[in-house]
Amino acid sequence: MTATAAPARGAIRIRDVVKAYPGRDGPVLAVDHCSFDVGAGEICAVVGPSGCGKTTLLAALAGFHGIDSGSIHVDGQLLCGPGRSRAEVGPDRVVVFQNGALFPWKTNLENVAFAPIVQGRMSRRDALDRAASLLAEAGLRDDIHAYPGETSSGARRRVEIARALMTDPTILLLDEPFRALDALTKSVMHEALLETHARRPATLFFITHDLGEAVFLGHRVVVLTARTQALLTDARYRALVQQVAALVHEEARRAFEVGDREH
Amino acid sequence: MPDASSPEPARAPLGLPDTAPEWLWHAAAWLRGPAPYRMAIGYALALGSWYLTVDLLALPRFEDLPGVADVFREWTSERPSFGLSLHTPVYYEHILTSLRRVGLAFALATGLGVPVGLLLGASPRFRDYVFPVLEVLRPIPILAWVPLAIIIFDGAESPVVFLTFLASFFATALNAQLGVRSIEPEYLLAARCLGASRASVFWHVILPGALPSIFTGLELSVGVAWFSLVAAEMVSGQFGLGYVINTSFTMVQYPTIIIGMLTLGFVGHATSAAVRLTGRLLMGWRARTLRLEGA
Repeated sequence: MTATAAPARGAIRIRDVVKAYPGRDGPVLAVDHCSFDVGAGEICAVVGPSGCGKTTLLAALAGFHGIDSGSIHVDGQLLCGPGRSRAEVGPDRVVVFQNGALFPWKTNLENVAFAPIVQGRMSRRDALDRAASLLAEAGLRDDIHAYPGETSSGARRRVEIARALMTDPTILLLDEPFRALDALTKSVMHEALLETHARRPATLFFITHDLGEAVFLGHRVVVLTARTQALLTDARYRALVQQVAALVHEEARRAFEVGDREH
Repeated sequence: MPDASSPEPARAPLGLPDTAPEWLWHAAAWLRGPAPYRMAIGYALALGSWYLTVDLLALPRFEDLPGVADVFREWTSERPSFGLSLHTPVYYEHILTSLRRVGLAFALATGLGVPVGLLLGASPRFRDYVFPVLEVLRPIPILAWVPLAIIIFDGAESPVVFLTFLASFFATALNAQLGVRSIEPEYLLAARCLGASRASVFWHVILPGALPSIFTGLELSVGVAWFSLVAAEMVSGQFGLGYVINTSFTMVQYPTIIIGMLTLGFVGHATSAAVRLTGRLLMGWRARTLRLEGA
């Protein structure tokens, strides 16, 4: 590794990972000898049909369960593999869940301030201040004191991402976070996510069903099937796709803003 | 900055100033709706059929029952024929005795039932030890506990409180357990991802997550507390509303039975309402979220 000013963190190296679940007729293979890399600070979109093992891989990265064989390294350090069947769940790898997991009994502000408070890293006051500025930065000033149940689904996703970012994670694990959103909100979310990523570069491991979303967001798109392949990383192709996607996105955003004003 | 998309309950038509407190808005909205009139009609129908069957028609099997007028006269009389009315201090002594027993039993049941229920929900090992035993004890009717209560506990007071406590305890513990088990697993995973210790997970996720169900249990628990209190007071004890009902029956003071019953109804309803109100105050997030969902 070269000694640059700030070495990027969060490089993931997945090698020969196998994971099976017990099933009625013997074990069911969820991930079969999967290998790929994600560069530090990269947005890696993972697509594939249901049951291809996307979520299993994410759960292994998060430490929710172990793997049967193979290894996962982060920045050269063994996360799980030989001698350590399961990664520790920790604030350096935070999951944003498919259905949202903001605590409904805490306001959005309290949710975002949760991590540093329970970790004892900040005083309650400092944590709330920092959370408020992070939410304001994300354009959510109006939602600060609302409960998640009173917040629009799009804003809720952004609050949850802000909550995850409060721990300064090296890797953000997103499990189809925008699945339930309508197309226009989704488009706005994409821009917000890219903006956030530009401000705080963490590695994003982004699971999605939506190939368009994967192509638009991902520096790298991994298509998981029975056999894993890394695809669509050619620079020229990506530039072309992003041009098209940006145009579509701009149109969508304009429509969204008009809709917002007419409310 | 007002956000046009955030739904606010429609307030303008009620003609109240914006500064009016929340409960006044609720009251005003309730009065504008059909609910109060339906309630009045419901009461009128109930009292009317009582009047019709007993006072007016004196139907067979009903003729010995006290009529509406008799009960009302006795209840409000300054010199009641059977010694119990709104004007006699002994009436309030009975109410207070029952309230004190229910309060004590409810406090014990809550103090013991909530922790036991939370543990049952949170720790599979504790659950393995304790739950099967609870499952066998729970269906035993309170009246079946009476002999044991009298053998174990001294005097007239403690057996009654013990019997009242029992049923409440089961309702509270089981609902607290249910509350913990109904928490979305994602909340627990998210909390651990964000670096919460086991203690933090308990205070920030498990307890608030189980609170709605705990309060459902507490509301049930006050209900069963009254239920078992009266059963216990009929068996032992020299005071209380259950005792009033039982002795009035043996002494053929029928209007007083009805007075005791209705008093139980009102007092029981008030205690349930108090528990519900406490729950609402503790769970502001829930009231606000549910209101938006139109519940």
